[in-house]
Amino acid sequence: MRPTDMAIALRGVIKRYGDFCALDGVSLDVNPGEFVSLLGPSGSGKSTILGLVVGSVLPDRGAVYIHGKDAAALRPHERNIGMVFQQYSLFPHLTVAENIAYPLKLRKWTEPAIKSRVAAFLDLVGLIREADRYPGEISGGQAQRVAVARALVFDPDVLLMDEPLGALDKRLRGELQEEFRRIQRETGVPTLYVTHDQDEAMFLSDRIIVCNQGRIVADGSPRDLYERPPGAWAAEFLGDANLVPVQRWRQCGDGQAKAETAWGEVVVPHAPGSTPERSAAIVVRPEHLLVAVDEPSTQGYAPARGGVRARVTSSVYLGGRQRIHLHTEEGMLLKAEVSGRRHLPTGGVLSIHWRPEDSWLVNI
Amino acid sequence: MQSRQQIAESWGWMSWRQAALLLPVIVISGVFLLAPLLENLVRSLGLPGESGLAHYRSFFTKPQYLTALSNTLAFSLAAAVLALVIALPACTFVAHRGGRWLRSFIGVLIVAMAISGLIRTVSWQIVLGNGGLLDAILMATGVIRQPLGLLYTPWAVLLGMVQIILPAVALALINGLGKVDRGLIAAARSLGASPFQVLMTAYLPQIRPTLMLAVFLGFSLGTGLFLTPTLLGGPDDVVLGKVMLGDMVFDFENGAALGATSGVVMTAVVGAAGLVCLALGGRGFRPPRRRGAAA
Repeated sequence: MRPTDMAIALRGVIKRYGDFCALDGVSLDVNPGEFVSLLGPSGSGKSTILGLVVGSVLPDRGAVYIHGKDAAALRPHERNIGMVFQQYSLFPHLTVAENIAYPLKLRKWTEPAIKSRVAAFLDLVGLIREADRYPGEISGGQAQRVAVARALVFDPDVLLMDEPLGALDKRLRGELQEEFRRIQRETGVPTLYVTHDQDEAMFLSDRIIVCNQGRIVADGSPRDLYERPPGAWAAEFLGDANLVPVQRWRQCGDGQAKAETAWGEVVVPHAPGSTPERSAAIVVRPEHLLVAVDEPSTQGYAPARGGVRARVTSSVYLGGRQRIHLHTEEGMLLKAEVSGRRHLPTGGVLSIHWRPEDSWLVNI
Repeated sequence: MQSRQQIAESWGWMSWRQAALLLPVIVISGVFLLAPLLENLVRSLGLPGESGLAHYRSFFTKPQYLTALSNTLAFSLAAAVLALVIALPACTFVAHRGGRWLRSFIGVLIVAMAISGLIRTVSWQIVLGNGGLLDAILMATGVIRQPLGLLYTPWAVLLGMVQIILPAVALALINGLGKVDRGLIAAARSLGASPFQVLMTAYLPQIRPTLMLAVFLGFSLGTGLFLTPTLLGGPDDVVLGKVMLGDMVFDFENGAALGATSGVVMTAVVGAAGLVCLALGGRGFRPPRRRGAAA
């Protein structure tokens, strides 16, 4: 699609601060109606991307399009963007209703129009009873809902959220995540959501864009990125992963790779675009590692040669599940997550294997 | 369960131990501030048997007092506003910049305040005097042909006063400007406020109490200056402080009472100015006070 069909489009954006390259040729799209999370560690460039869309940062090279228009010609207040901040940033001297009315007053709406619009959005975020309270008199979760209503009330082309749950405790975060998703589905406003919390990004998003060191390293649906990560860094950043080193490998057609590991040869699917010229590893998620107390028949499992012998070095009971750390005879550390009902004492020797289709070869 | 301490704090009360910390201040301001003011008030009403308001009548009918009063107010107000205008851009910059900029700026202000007002005033005499530094520079560069003759004019008084009150005004500004919530400014901008609308709805209301506090501080400091107008001004630029001095030194019979009367009038004017500034400053971005306790 052309950048003009997108809610937000960045094309080849480069941004430097002195010697520091904040963005190194970034292109991304947010489709109409889509909820996209921008996920990355601090300093990865996600805040800079947000700044480019808001207009507080100007690109050194490349272009930013908002709702089809080249943003270079638009000053920040002309961009028609709703923004939600981590610190709520509500006006403390205005009531909840007055805060939501603020952007409408700026746009010179008539008094009756403002009144009915504000009432509708108070209803949307479930704060009708708090309409006449001041921000100092409501909870953090309620304050953030007011901020969302205020950012959406004037029908913005896109909604930007900058770590909006960062200041809230865990339980409230979960509650608000549900709210955000419902509100976004109801209003259909394309949303770019910045976070460093991968669970949050998984829960909320239609699509996740992962940034690292000023580049986009992964872009896809939560399922795609978790099950078929494009690289080792993305695999470890998004969820937990065991990386089994590969000595050499070759493509054997149909997206399959024949790979040589310390435990013999395995045939596993590989990431598109990965090449045998660069070093590689096999990604196996902890919950996909199968552990057996005795040596089972491993027909159809990897590695083929009777599984990997490993000693349990620690186990943590999580209620229902348990997380165990294993040390293989070759000196590798593995993490596995298995049912909490099995008794797997520290020091016990287990046999480890996995189903080839649950693993994924990537370049490192 | 809340402890008594927590309950007291949540209601804004103090424990006796906390209140004891305030005791020295209460005693000192009582003995050295309120008592002399009361003494002044009593003296201004004259000796027993005299008509109580005689001194006030003479204050408000004699032109020497009225001129001095209006001079004092005009100079102080003009100097305070001018100091605010001069200090505001730099203070806004350093308050937002913070860090080393802020620390060095405050250091410079404190050095400026530490230099005696007398010395600062006398140095203006040297700069502004006939054939002084300013004239010399302007004439050497060919900007003017005749000496300006600024010394002993109201302009010289204004200049001298601004210089003396400027550091205090700047410190008051920096303190308040540093507390501006810039998140609210970003929020206003993101909600579609133009730069002018951001200024009017998100910035000015936040800093207005600070601006008025700085003006009031400058003004009240200005009313207390009499050396500067005396050394830099002409014969018409008499301020109330100088008249008071004259009364007290040269009028053995009524001097104390007349001086006290001027003092009471001045205190009342400054107090009124304080109230006006408080009203103009507004509540900033604090929510309006509620009847009854908030939930």
